Amino acid sequence: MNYDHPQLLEKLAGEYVLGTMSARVRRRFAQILLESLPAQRAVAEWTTRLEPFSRSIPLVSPSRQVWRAIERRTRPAPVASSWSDNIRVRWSDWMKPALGFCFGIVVTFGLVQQAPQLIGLESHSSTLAASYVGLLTDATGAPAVAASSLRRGTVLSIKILKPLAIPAGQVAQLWALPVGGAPIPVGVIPASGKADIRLGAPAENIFAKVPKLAVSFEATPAAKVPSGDFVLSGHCIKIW
Amino acid sequence: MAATQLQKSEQLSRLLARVGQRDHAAFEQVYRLTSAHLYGVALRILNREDLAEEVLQEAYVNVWNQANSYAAGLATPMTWLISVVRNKALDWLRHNKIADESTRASTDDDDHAHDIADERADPAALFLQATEKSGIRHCMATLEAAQRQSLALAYYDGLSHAELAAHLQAPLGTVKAWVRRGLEKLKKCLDNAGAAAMGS
Repeated sequence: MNYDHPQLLEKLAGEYVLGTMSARVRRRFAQILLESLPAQRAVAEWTTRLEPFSRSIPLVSPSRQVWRAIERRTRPAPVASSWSDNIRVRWSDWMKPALGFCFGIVVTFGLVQQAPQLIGLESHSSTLAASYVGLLTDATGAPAVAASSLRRGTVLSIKILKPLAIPAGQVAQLWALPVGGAPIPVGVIPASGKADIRLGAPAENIFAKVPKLAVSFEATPAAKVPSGDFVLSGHCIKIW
Repeated sequence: MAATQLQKSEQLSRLLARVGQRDHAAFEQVYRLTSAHLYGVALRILNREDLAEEVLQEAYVNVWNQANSYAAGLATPMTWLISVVRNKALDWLRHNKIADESTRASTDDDDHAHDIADERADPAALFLQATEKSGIRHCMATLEAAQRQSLALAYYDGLSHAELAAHLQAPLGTVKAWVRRGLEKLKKCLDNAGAAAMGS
C-alpha cells in the first residue's frame, strides 16, 4: 500500500483517530506513524478536528490511588533526607560493593588500555556513529547549544554550552530550518544543563534536508511558527 | 469562555514545558487540572473503572516521559493529552477484544459489578451535545443519519469497523463507507468552520 498518497493517508489518519481500525491495521499504521512526518501531521490534524467531541463527556474524578500509583512510577528517587540518615548506614554495608566496583573499574580500564578488541571497543572507539550534529551560536558567535542525535535515533540530546537568558513566562524553542521550507518546531530546550528531546520520528526523517537549526523565545511551546527573531542559530550536519 | 479556554491552554503549555524538564510539581498540577476530563474519556470508552484507571495511569506516565514530544506544536495541550488517553484506551480495546462486551452490557448478565453501562449517555446524544457546545451543530446536518450514528458509536464507545457492522447489522463494506464519507463531510465542514472563524 502506498502510504505516501495524500488521500489514502488522510482516510487512514481519520480512521486511526476515530478508532475504527482493527487491531492489525491499527498496529501497522502506528508503525508508519513512527517514521512518516506526513502521517504524523495528518493524525495531529484529525486529533484536533475530533477533539470537540470529547467536550460532552462528563468529567469524573479518578480515585486517589491513581495519582499515588503515578507518583510512585514517576517521582525521582528521593535522596537521603539528612546527614543522620547517611551516618546510620554502616560502613560494612557499602564497603564491599564499593571495593568491588573500584576493582571492576581498574580491571576494565586496564583491559581497554591493553586489549580493546577483547570487549569489542576497538572499532567503536575509532569511528563516530552515524549522527546528526548541530552547533548553535549566539549573536557574538559564541557556541551556545550543541544538539546531537543518532542517524536513526528518536532522541535529540541537547547540551547548553552557554546559559540562555530566557525571558520570564517564555520558553526557548528549537527549530529545524529545512531548505526552502517553513521552520519546523523540534522541542523546548532548557536554560542550562542537558536535556533529551524525544523526536516523533527517526532523526533522519526530520533532519535529512535541514542544514540549519535555530532557537527563538516563544510565549508557548505550542508555537507553530517563530514569533520573533532567532536568538541562536547554527549549522546542522550529518556525520557519516 | 474562549478566553478562559485559551488561558487554560497557555497555562497547560507552560506546565508541560516544565514537565519536559522533569519538574514533578508541574506534573502534579497538570494531573490536577486534567485528570477528571481524561478519566472521563477513558471511562467512556472502556466502560470499566478498573481498566479506565489503569489506562489513565499509563497515559500520565507516558506524559511524564514524553512531555518533550508535545512541543512539536501540532495540537493544543488538552488535545494532545486526550489523544494519549484515547490511543491507550483504543489499543487496550483492540488488544483485548472486549468492545463487544462493553457495548452490550445493558442486555447481558453483568459480570462486572462496577459496570456502568446502564448509566452511560447515548452516543448520539453526546455527539449532538458536543457539536452544540462547540458551535458546529450545522456540521451534523451535512451527515446522513447512518454516518452520524457510526461516527458517534466509534468515537464514544470505541467500536471498530467490524463491531459497528455487527452492532448496526449492516455489511462491513457499507459501514466502512459510512465512516469514510462521514469523516470526509465532517472534515469539509469543520475545516470551513475553522477558516471562517479565523477570518472573522
